Formats: sequence, structure tokens, C-alpha cells
Amino acid sequence: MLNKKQVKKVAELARLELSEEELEDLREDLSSILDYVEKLEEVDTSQVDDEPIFSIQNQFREDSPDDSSEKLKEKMKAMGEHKDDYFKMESI
Amino acid sequence: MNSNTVKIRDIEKKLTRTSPKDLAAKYVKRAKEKNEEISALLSVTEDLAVSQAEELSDDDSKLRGVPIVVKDNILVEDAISTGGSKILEHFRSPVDATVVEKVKEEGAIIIGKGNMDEFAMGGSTENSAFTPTKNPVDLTKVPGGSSGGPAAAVASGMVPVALGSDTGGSVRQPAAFCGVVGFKPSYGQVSRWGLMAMASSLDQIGPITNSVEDAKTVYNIIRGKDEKDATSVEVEKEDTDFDKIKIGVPEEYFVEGTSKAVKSQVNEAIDKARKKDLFEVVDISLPHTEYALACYHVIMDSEVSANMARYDGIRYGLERENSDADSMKEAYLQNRGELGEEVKRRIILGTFALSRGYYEDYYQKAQKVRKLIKADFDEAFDKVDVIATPTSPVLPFDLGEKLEDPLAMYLADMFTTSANLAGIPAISLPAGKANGLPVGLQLMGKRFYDQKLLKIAEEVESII
Repeated sequence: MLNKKQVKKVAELARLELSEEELEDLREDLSSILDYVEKLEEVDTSQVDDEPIFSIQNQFREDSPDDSSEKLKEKMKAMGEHKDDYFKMESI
Repeated sequence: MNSNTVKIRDIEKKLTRTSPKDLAAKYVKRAKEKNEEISALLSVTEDLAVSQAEELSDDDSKLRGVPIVVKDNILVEDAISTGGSKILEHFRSPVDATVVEKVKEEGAIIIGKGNMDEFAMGGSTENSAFTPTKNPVDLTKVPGGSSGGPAAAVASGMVPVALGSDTGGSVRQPAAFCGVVGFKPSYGQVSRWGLMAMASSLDQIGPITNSVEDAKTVYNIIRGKDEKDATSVEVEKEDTDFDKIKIGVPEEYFVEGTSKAVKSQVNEAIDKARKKDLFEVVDISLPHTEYALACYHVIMDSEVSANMARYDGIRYGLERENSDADSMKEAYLQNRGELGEEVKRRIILGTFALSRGYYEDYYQKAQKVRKLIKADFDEAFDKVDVIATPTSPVLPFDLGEKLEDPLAMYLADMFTTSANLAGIPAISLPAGKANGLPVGLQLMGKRFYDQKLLKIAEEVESII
């Protein structure tokens, strides 16, 4: 159902590097899963509205800063290459 | 339940004769020994446990000195949290998840991080990037997943309490496979802050224990609205005393596809209830059941594809030596190549389902079907107090048995995904054994009626 080119394109969107073998295995797996998922088309959803399923109100809090981020920053620095408060990485 | 297992009150008793520090040391030692056999833990947090035990005050906090295991996708400050993945192999968390903060406040001693399917994607813990976990009841079988490590830790007597996460059954199914209790609260009852997000509209953290009483104790500690989790709510419908409990049995859960052994064991449990005056067993129908798994996979994979985007190998400290990437894009591609097969599968499916041209047909359609599934439950709960089903359509299977066929693995979640889709509370209770292997009975309740479900579960537990 899905061809190799489609899988490759989607993998690129998702920033995933796949080997040729992975590509083929995935194409097969995905095709069978998509076939299974097709059964949703049987369901009549014409009467169902677009509202989200759990009607949770937007939760707001006071926009007041605290110092918890300082502690966090120190710990984050131990994690990877950094310069000041930024992580270092390859340039684009 | 075997005699190795331990409850919270057993720990309380032991602490009348032993100091928390000595007890913690004893449980750490025991955990290391048992772990050789079953690989339930990815790390034993010995130093943390000892220092926690030393800092305990002499009060009557509810989990004082109780050793617990925390699934490795729930953050514990200063401990490694891998999420079962190579991409986080060296990630030392700078914070405690809210639930961890809460159990620590009640005196719990964290002795280890539980093994899991990578990023909670799987039903057997075989997708762990590090090692599979063995079912303590039968070492040739899987413990279930994705919280297989936590469930095995409780079932083997390592600890009386473990915290797991449940997105499509990942607390209940391993609890069923290992013969212990696993509870998934209503969506929103427990803060997800500090839980590595898998599918944000489905995830909930829940306790795995050896009794409903202990699950209730832990649930009441970890629940509550959290400022840091905007989807958490403070809504609790207090239960009232009941003189009759109506148990709904949905025909759709007993059709072909469920193993005869499971059906017979679960029916036996339901028959025990039928014989008691307190219970009335009612046949009901949940007509959209057959669409739950497909619905779940579309929604879950889509949300997964969004949540996995943050794992780029840069933010959380994956240091790839000999990286020959000479651009950001290449670095991303290579680092994310470290993700496991199942994770990649779901990311790709999810990305596809959300992409232009397919979004309406897949994601939007699934969200609508989801509402119909929830409506089935709303209607059923007008007629009954609780719904009883098998937790899993199959008995614990052999290690390696379902690895070649992802779809076969997914089908094992058939009965648990509906509760996540509908946001309702659900619990798995041990209901005896078939062919020597544990069978779980699942009870589902109305959204936000968690206390009522737990109360009913205690009644059922006492008779099955």
C-alpha cells in the first residue's frame, strides 16, 4: 500500500535515518498496519462534532518568575557541550 | 499470589524491628540478587536509597521506609532515566517527576528504575534497548509491557509498590501477566509532569502493587492537580455506600480471539460474584469495541511522532563519538538512528497519519471514532457501576514469540486501550491461573469515579 518512496519521504520529515533493509521491513509493516486501520472507515462519524474529547478548560497561572530555573540550568550544563546557557551543536 | 510478595503493611511491621536504613540496604541487596534472574531493573539506585532512608523522620508518613521501583520513563532527580532507550542511556535527570516528589514526601525509598519497552512502546518489555525482563512466575514467559520491569519487581517480592505508566494498557497488562494489581487512574487524576510523554492524551501514571488497598494508598498520594501539568484536574467524585454493585459484562470482550483458558478463568471469577448478594451481573454491549485498537493506534502513533521529536541526541546528552555529521540535519538523522525499530515504526506511522492529504482520513477520523467509544461507556455506566472483562486476550506468551509480527503484539492490548481512549479508570486484579500462568480480571469505572472503582475492586478482590 505504501511505496518505498513514500516511506523514505516520511522518514526524512521525521528526521530518521533508515537503512535499505529497514526501509523495506518498515514498508511491509506499515502497509499491514494501515490495512488494519482502514476498518475505521466503516464507522459512521457523520453525527460526531469537532469538539475535543475531554472538555478541560485552559489552565492559567500567575506569570511570576521563580529561581527554580537556575538550579535546572546548572544541572543541564552537566549534560552536554554548552556555551553559557546554550547547548552547542553542528551548524546548519 | 505467591508468598514472596510483600505489602505496605509488611514493611510497617518490619520497621518496628529494623531501622529504615538497614531495611533499605536489605531490599537493595535483595533487588540486586533477584535482578540477576529476571532483569526487572535497569539501575539500582543504592546511594539514593541509603540517603533517603537516612533522612527519614520518625513520623507516620504513609510510605515511610517503603522501598519502591519507578519505571525508567519517570524522572528521579540525580538518577539515570533511560526511558528504555539508547538515546537516553546516560541521561541523568535534573528533576523529580511530580509523582516521585509526592511519594518521597511520604517517606518512600526509591531502590531502582524499572525496565520497560523503549519509550513505553510495546506489550512485552522485549523492546527495551537493553535487555528483556523475565516473568517471575515463569521465566520462559514475558512479564508483559511496557511496565514489565515494575510489574516483575512487585511480583518477585523486590518491592511492594512500583510506579508504571499506562497509555494503552501498559500498567494493567503486565500486572495481569505477573499476577499482581495494576491501576490506571482517570485521565487527568495524576500529574504527567516528569513522565516522558508518549501519547499526551492517553498517558497516565499508575501504581502496581500486591493488593487493591496498597494501590489505593499510593493513588491517593500521587493524585491531584499539578500546576506543572495543565491536563491534570482536581475532580473526584466521592463514592457513596452501595447495597448492590452492578457488574456489566460486555459481550464483545468474550468473542473469538480471546484464549479459552483466559475466558474460562475470567468467567469463573465473574461467577463467584454472581453468587454473592452484593453483586448483580448484567450483560451489556459496547458496540464500538472492535474499532478501539485501530483508533488507538492512529491517535497514539500521531501523538508519539510529535512527542519523540525532542529526542535529537543533543538536548539530553547523547554523546556520539566519531560522529561524522557535518550539518545539523545529518546530526539529527544519525542520532535518531539510535532509536529502536518499534519506536521508528510508530514515528513513521504517526508522521504519515498527520501529514497533508492524510490528516482528515486518519487522525481526525480516529478522534471522532474515539468519541463514539467514550459514548458507549457513558451509556453503559447509566446501567452498571463497573464493567468486567479479561485484561488480556492471551496468557503470558513466550519470550521471542511475537517479535516478528508487530500486529500480533498490538492485538494483546485489545481490551485495555478503550479505557485510555475514554479517559476512564481501570484496574487489573489477579484472577487465578490457567495452565500455571496468571490471568487478570479488568474492572473499568466511570470517568472520575476512581474512588468508587477502587472500593468495588476491593470487594471483588476479596471473593475471587
